[in-house]
Amino acid sequence: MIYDSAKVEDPPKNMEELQEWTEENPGRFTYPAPPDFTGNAFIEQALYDLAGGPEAYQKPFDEAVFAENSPEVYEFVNGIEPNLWREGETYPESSAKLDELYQNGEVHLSMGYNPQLAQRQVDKGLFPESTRTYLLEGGTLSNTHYVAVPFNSPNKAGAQVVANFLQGPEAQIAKQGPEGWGDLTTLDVDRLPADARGALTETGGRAALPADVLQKNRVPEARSEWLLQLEDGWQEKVLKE
Amino acid sequence: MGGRLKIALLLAPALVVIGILFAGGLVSAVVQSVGYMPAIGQTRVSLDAYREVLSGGDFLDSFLLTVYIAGVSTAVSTVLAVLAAMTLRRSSGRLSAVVFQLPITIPHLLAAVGIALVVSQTGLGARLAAALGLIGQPREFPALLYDRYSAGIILTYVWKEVPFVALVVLAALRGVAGELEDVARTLGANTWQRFWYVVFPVISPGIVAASLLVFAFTFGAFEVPYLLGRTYPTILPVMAYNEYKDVELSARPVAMAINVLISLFTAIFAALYLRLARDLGRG
Repeated sequence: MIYDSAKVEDPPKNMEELQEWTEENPGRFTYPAPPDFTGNAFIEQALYDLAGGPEAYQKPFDEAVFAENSPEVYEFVNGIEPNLWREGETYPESSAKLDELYQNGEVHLSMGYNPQLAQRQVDKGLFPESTRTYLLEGGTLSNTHYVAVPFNSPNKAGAQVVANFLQGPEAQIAKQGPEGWGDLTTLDVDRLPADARGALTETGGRAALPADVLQKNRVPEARSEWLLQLEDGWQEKVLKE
Repeated sequence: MGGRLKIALLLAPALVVIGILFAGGLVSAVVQSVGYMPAIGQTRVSLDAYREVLSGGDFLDSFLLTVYIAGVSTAVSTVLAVLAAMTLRRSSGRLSAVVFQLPITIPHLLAAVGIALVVSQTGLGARLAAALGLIGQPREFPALLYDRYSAGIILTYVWKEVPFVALVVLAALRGVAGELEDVARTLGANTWQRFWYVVFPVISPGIVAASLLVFAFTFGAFEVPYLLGRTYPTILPVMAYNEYKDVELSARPVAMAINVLISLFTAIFAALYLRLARDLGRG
């Protein structure tokens, strides 16, 4: 989560606080509309927070559990809807749009998967200097990028060489750097030889969080069947009503 | 016979391009819309996707919104363009050329972003209005983007399409219309009579053709409503895009079915409109 410390003293750290915060600051919060990636993550985070943590959703999809837990999420997001940006009549369709609202000062909170996002935007002069990143109490969702070799690929061996390179420390350091992609590495830093760790443990800057704090608070994504159901439900129960 | 061959040869390059790119795309869209995708092992042909699209309420909402946006944009652009062309036809060529040709060179994408920068609630217009004391705070500026009435989208289309229609009308006006009007004047016709009985019949084919192009374009265009429209309902092309990018590859036929339907509707509207225009011309 990203907030502007000049405008927000104590950012909401869980869904209950977020609800209070939106009541006190109507129109200053919104989230990207699912199926946007970041919007999905927000309702997933709400699901974890309101209905029992990530563990239950690592198992295969269970209709009964979903039917019991998901209404809490929809009730929550419908509850905050009147206090969202534009009273929830419309949503930003992407996280880039949300960032734009944030940089124009229309909303005071933003969110993103990329831990370096805030720092990078501050460096570019797009986000205010007072921008800070923080984590919700339940931890921060994280996932892994995969590379795949299509079954009909003509150059399977070459693709495997590229995949190996991408997994090496050199490429991973470049990927995590704030001027590169900025995402956390998939490697277990403790198991790397000390001289190969390089910049993997460094902090990006004042607006970002240290890499080890992020690593420690990672929570896994729910399995995709849960997410798809959650997303469809959001479209039906929140967007269209 | 030689003349015909010449015409065919001259048309061939353009027809090849249109044939391969447009017809090819349409055919592959139709093929995918009936569920034929051998790459993921789907070879059964069915109309399930069409059934799914047409039975949902979403499609009707999107369809009505699309017709509304295309219809209002076309009507407003056409009326403004005719008025502007009538006013500007007597001026020297330079001013009207600059005024009218500039927006034509600007892509819709850029126009949408520009309009958004001016009319958004943190935009230039809002700040100016607040500075002038018209509104208390910039955020009290009326919501013209992502709104119920699609004001931002229609504004962008009007800004882009008025010059286009006006140029077509202006070309017709500068032709024979001026002389005919002078003749009518010598015969004692007043301003309204000169417009309705002399000028309008001359420029109406141009108006019909230009406004039809505008309607067909705004009906099928994606980028402006995608940037400036509400999350729900969306116009048909945005709805097709949302289905297309679904993580389930099996949603692809639905996206293609919507695309095929968009093409079909545009063709039907064009046919109806041309027939209407022809009947009016006769009457």
